[in-house]
Amino acid sequence: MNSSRMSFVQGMKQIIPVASAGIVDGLVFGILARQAGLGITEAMLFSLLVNAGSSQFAAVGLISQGIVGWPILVSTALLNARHLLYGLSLGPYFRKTPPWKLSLMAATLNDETYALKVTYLTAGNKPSLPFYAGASIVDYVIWNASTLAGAWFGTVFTETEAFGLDFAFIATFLGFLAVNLVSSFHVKVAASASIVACLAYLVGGGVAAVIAGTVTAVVIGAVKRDG
Amino acid sequence: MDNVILYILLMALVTYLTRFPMLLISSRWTVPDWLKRGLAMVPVGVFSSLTVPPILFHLRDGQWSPEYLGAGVVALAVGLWRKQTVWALLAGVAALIGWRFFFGL
Repeated sequence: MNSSRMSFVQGMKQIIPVASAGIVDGLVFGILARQAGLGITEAMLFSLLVNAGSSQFAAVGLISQGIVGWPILVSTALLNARHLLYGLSLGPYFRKTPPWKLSLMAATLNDETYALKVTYLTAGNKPSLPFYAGASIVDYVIWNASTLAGAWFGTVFTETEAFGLDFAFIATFLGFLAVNLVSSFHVKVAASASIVACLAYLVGGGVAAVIAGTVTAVVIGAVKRDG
Repeated sequence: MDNVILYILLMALVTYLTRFPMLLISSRWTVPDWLKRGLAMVPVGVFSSLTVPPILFHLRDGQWSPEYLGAGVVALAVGLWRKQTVWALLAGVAALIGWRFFFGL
């Protein structure tokens, strides 16, 4: 009991630097949601229920173009498909954990909590649900508090182009891309996906580009033979 | 706006489906290697196809403009250097503000 409480507190503390990096993203998300014509309630529902930054950014980008429909769900599925990868990597550590506990753990699986958890496990620590729960709660609170702050002041910014905020989505995604370019193979896959995405973009627009580019990357990865 | 709330709920559902089933499956069974290799490429695929086309084909007042390309190179370079998305965001937006300050809105 005592050691699980310690793990819980340890998780809460260790997520803080990781989650703090998301404060700016949360603020910018709140601002952009308001600029797209959404209210504070809608902006908060995004962060409370979806809790996955990049897909929220993409959805608000579509809404600001007047697109409220299936493209939102397609971009959400593709962007969040990386959670499949996180689940794939964490699953084997939790062979004896009952499914209902895994279902709760999955609810807060995102970039930050995964990054912390996988670092914790590769450092040789035993899989710990309390550690993960502590980290998840703090991450969730920080993300939602920063969204609320951004949404609250979101209408103060009227000249978004002067503040360069129209580039905020793309800059954030470039950051994610940079973090993921971990080998020369990844760079080649990114280049191939970009070329296909550009062709699809010219023919069918942004959503077609994301579908075609992602499928290209997945196929190259799946058929690759060595290591 | 009612539609927006509906789509937020559907997004939450879709997102949960990316989080839970694979975690459950991989905690109970072994997943084939080709699937692992394919999924490992999802992030680079998504993030490059979300960024490169709108940067290269960026229009401003109906004319092609290099402003996103310039800011994008800065954002990517800073992201590669600092290995944190927030620095890429700040650097990219700052670069665009600077560009527009010198070359006009």
